[in-house]
Amino acid sequence: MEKTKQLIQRCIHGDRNSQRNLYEAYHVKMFGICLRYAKNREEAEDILQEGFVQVFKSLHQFKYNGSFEGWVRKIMVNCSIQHYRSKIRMYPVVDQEEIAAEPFVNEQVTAKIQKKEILNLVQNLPPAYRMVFNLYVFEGLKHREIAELLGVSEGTSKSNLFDAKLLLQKAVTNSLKIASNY
Amino acid sequence: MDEDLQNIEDLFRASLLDHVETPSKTVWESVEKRLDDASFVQLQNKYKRLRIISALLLLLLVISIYEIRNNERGKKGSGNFSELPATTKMSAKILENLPSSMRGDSLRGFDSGRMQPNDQIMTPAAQSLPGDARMGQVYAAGNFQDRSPQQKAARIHVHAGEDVFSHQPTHYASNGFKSAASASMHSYIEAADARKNDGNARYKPIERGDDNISYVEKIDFARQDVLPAGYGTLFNVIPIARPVLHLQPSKTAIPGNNLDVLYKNRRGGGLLITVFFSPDFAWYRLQDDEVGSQPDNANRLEKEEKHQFSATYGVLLDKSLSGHWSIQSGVTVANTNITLEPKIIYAQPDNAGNVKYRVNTSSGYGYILPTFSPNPVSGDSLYMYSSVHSLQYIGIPVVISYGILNSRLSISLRQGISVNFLTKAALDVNVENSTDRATETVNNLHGIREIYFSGMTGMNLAYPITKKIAATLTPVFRYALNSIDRNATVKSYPMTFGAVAGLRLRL
Repeated sequence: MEKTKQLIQRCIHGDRNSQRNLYEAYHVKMFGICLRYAKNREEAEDILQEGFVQVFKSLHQFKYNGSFEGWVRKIMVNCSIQHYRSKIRMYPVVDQEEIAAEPFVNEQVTAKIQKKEILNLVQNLPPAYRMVFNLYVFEGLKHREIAELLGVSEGTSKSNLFDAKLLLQKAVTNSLKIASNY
Repeated sequence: MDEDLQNIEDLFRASLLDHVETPSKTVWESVEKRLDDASFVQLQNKYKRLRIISALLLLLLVISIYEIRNNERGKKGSGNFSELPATTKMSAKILENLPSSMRGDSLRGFDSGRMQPNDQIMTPAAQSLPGDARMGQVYAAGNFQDRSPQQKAARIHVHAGEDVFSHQPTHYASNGFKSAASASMHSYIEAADARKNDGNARYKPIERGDDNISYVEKIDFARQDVLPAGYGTLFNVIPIARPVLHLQPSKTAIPGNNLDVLYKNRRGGGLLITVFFSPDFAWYRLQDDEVGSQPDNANRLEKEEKHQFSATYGVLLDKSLSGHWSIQSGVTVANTNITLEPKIIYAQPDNAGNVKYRVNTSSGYGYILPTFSPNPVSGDSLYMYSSVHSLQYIGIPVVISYGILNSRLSISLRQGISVNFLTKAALDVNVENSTDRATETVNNLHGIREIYFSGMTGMNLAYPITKKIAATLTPVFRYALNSIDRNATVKSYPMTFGAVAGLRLRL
């Protein structure tokens, strides 16, 4: 923590090498987060870039009483939400593809489908669903918190989560079928 | 089905929670470029602030120097001579060195170059003249209340000896004293021609009887070598102390009954006290500050908050610096009340780690713990159906004033800064859940600065009610120079427009 503190202090003073080091230390993890919230890699890079700019601008506000990584992560999530809000012309869902969702075992899925493909499934969700799914599943927020953050009702948040999970289940089933055919 | 959906959650969480991937190198390049831009803007802002502060300091410095010089001049030129200029001291020594026959009795009180009111100076060539025309006299300001406006202006009189060029009896007098002088004397008055404002004193003779001359602004004494009349070449040239009056030119003559006040002010001796009250129209500029998961931001708070009655009151002292300039300072008390629209508030850990309900405002944030919900967990919510936060600041302003109209109604432009000390930052909140209601008070909002600086611009109108009391009205715009918050949800820059009404008393 002491090293991180020194690094942060140097970054606050505008030391470009330290800023680069801090970026190097966290960019891979943070990009993983951004990818989940984005539609594709380019969008994720935009969010990552905005997130790190915010991190450097706000470093003086970090109070050292919690995890620095958690703080950076929070900024990335906020930037993702901002990005979502800026493009809020929501595409009314719904994928009407008639594929029956079938039960499956998680180990079976992870054995047959690559992580990247699983990530693609999330990225292919409609934005509103993707946001709710990420905030609920990965950030552990409650529906009323999600509703506040996204400016929707609690009911909408619940409904979006349900639909998102249903879509993902169908997509996973579909992916498993394709994988089995090979 | 529900089980399967839970399964989906677990599947994705397990697969993607720790997913890492390397972005392209262009991301860092873009971040670096934006950081460069940001530091340039920051630097610009920093220097902008520095420039403003430097300009203000420079202005204060110039005013201070002017004030000091003006005070010295006021002491020397107003009849209250504590110390005379070097030329005068030199003249005094010259006079002392004259033969006693040339000095007469008029050097009494003239001690080592120091002159007091009513001290007399003799110009040697005048000793043969009768009466008070022999002597150069410096009179202290007297009471001229019962005289005409022109005479009122005649607060200082110097009349002396003989005109050194024409060898005619001469008196140097301000306007009001002429009537007391001998009509048989050839007179002239030298006045500074202030209209030629090029820094070089130029003098022009003004004929006796010119009633436009208002008052003596300053008196200098200069050495002049003369040949005494009637002595031919038997004696050497005699040095004399020649008084030179600098009079306020007719263009800016003091009109009417305000002569006393204005005269006093122009000498730098005037001190005014103003008691005022100002109902204020208040608003603010908000900027997002804290990066975090607060549901509130600048846009939202701006929509939810409404300013209620705000007011400023206090006492100010005016010190006149010169004919147009004055400086003002004192103590002000500013009160602002802001209400919040009903909304849902959430519980979250406070700065000490205890979970409480947080209320965000434009002036900072506070935590409440209603009795009906003493142990909330993070994310619990309450309905806040009304809230008001009140701020009180004690300010110490420094204001520079420039008079643009000096008639019965005087008008001046004002510009200043104020240091504002927070004395109260309270929050009253009414909350409820499905069964209970409670009123909670937070006496210390978090995230608010103890001190902030503000600027002010205004125009002062003053109209005399009596000789000593004037009514004043000052429309004034006040604006924060830095935000009143630090590490709060937003940065708030309060602004007010007030109609400052007051009574000004001349001390």
